Amino acid sequence: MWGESSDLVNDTLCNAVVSAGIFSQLNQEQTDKIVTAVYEAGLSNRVKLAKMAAEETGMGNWKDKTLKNAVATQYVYESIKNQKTAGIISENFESGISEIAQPIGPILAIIPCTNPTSTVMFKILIALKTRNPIIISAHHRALESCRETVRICYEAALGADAPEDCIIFFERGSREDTKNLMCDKRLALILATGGEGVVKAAYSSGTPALGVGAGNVPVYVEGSADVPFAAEQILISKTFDNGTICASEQSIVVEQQLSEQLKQELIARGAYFLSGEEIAAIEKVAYDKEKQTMAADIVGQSAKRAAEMAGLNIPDGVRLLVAPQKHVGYDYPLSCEILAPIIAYYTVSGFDEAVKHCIDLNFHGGIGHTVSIYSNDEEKIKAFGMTMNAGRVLVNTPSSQGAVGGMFNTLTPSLTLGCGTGGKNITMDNVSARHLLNIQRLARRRVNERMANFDSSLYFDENIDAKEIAKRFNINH
Amino acid sequence: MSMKRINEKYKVICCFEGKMDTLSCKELEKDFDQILSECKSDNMPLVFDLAGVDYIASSFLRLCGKAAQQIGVEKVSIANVTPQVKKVFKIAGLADVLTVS
Repeated sequence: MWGESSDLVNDTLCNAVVSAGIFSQLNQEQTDKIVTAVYEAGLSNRVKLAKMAAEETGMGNWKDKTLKNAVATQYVYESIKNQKTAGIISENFESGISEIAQPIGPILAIIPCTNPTSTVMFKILIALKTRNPIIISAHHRALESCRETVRICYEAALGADAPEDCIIFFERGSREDTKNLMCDKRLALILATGGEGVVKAAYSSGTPALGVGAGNVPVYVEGSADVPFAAEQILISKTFDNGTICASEQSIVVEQQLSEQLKQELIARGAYFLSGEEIAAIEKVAYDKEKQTMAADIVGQSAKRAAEMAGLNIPDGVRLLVAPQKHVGYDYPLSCEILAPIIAYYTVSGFDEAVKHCIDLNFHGGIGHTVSIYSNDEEKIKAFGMTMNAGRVLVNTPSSQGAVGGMFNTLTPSLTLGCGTGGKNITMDNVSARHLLNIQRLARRRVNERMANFDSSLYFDENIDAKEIAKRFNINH
Repeated sequence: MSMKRINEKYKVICCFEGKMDTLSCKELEKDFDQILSECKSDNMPLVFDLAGVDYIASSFLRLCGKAAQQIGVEKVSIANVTPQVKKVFKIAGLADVLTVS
C-alpha cells in the first residue's frame, strides 16, 4: 500500500502487516466471534470443498476428504474454542506470574496437495484464534479448491468484523516470489506442511518456521494383539482417502505366530497380497528411484488404479495392496513412504526383532513422525514407545486418524504433525493455536527465601565446594 | 465517531474521536479529501489528533497513507495516540514512515 514496490510479495506483506496491527486491538470475545463464524462456514461447505479438492488434485476421494474437512473445522474448533489467546491468559498469585498472550504476526501457510482444503481451514482457524493474519500459499495442483476455501473463510471472517486481509490467498508468482516471501522480515512465521523440499526451504529462509517432515509409519502387530481388530483398523486407516495422510501405516511388522492369521484377516477385508513379480511391477510405478522418493503419480490413487498403472489384474473389491518384504532401505522401494493404499509386510520372529525392524523403518525417512502398535501387553507397549523416535506412538488405533487427534485419542486435533529435531522440526507436538502465540510473562517480585538467607560472600571462597554451598543454601528450608 | 478540523496559522489539525472503523472512514472520505486538497495547495502540514480514538481499522491507516502520498510524508504527523493505537502503527510498519507520538 505504501511500500516502495507494488509487486506481489510487497503488496501481500504490506496488507498482512496492516492486518496484524488491526488484529492486535481485538479482545477475546471479538476474536472468538470471528473464529466461530469461520468454523461454521468451513463446516457448512465441507462437502463442496471436498469434491473440489478430489476433482482438482485427482487424489483420494471426496467422502474421506469431507471427513478431513469436518475434522479440520469441527474437531479443531472444539479443541481451541475455550482457549484464552488474547490478553491475560493466566494469573498465579503464589508464583506472581501472569501470562499475556500476544499475536506473533503474519503467518505464511504452505498447503500440500494431499490434504488441501482441510489444511487451509485448519491453519486459518488456528491463525485467527491467535489474532494472526495468514497468507495461504497452495500447491499448484490444488489452487482452485484452496482459493475457494479462502474465499469462504474470508467472507465469513469479514462478516464477523475481522480485520481486512486477515486471510490472504497468495496468487502464485514465480519461484523467486515464494522465496522472497519466505525470507521477508515482515513475515513472522512459516507454517509449512508438505514435502521435504518445501519444509527445508521454510527452515532455511531465516524466518521462524514450524515445518513438518515426512513419515514412514511402521505398525507392529505384537503377540498379544487382537488380530481381527488390528486387521480391521489397519484397513480403515491405510485406505482412508487412498492413503494420503502422512501418518498412515507404511509397513506392517507382525510376529511369526500371528502372521498367517493376520494375512487371512486382511484378505477377508479386501487386502491383496502381491507376488514377487507383482511387487516388482508396483515398485516401478510407486517409486522414483532417481529422486529416492514416492512417485508423484501414485499419490492418492486407489488400489485398483495403482494396480492398473502397474499393468496388474487384481480381483474386484481389492482395497489394499500388500507387499511382503524382508529388508529396509532405498534398494527396497516399498519400505519407503508411499502415500497410496500399498503397504509393506514383514514377518519377524519375536518382540526384539520386531522392534529392531520398526527402528529401521522409523529411521528410514520417518524420524519423529508416527509409529503404531497393536498389543494388549502394557510392558511391551511402553518398551516399544521408549525405543521409537516418534511424536505419536499410537496404541490399538488406526494411525491416519489417530495421529490427527480428537477421534481415537485425546491428542490435539491437527493437520500439522511435528516431528521433533529428528525431522528437523522445532516441535514434536500436534501443532495448534498455542504454537502461534508469543507468551509474555509478567513476573512480580517473589524473593527466593533461601537466597535471601544465604551469605553470598561464600561464593568467593575457593575452599567451599559445591556440596557445602548446597548445604548452607538449603539450611532450615 | 467524529472529525473536527482546526485551522492554525502553520498547520491543519484533524481531531478524531471514537472508533475509526471501516464505516466511519468511508463516511469521512469526502471531507477528508477536501482537507487533503487544501493542505496540498496551501502547502500546509497536517496533524491527526487521535486523543479520542480507541480503535482504528485498516481503512484509517489507508487514509494516513493517502495523506502521506498526497502532501508528503514529512508534512503528516499522528499525535496523541493511545498506547494501543501506537502499537498498531508500529506493527503495521507505519511508525517508521510517519511521525507518531
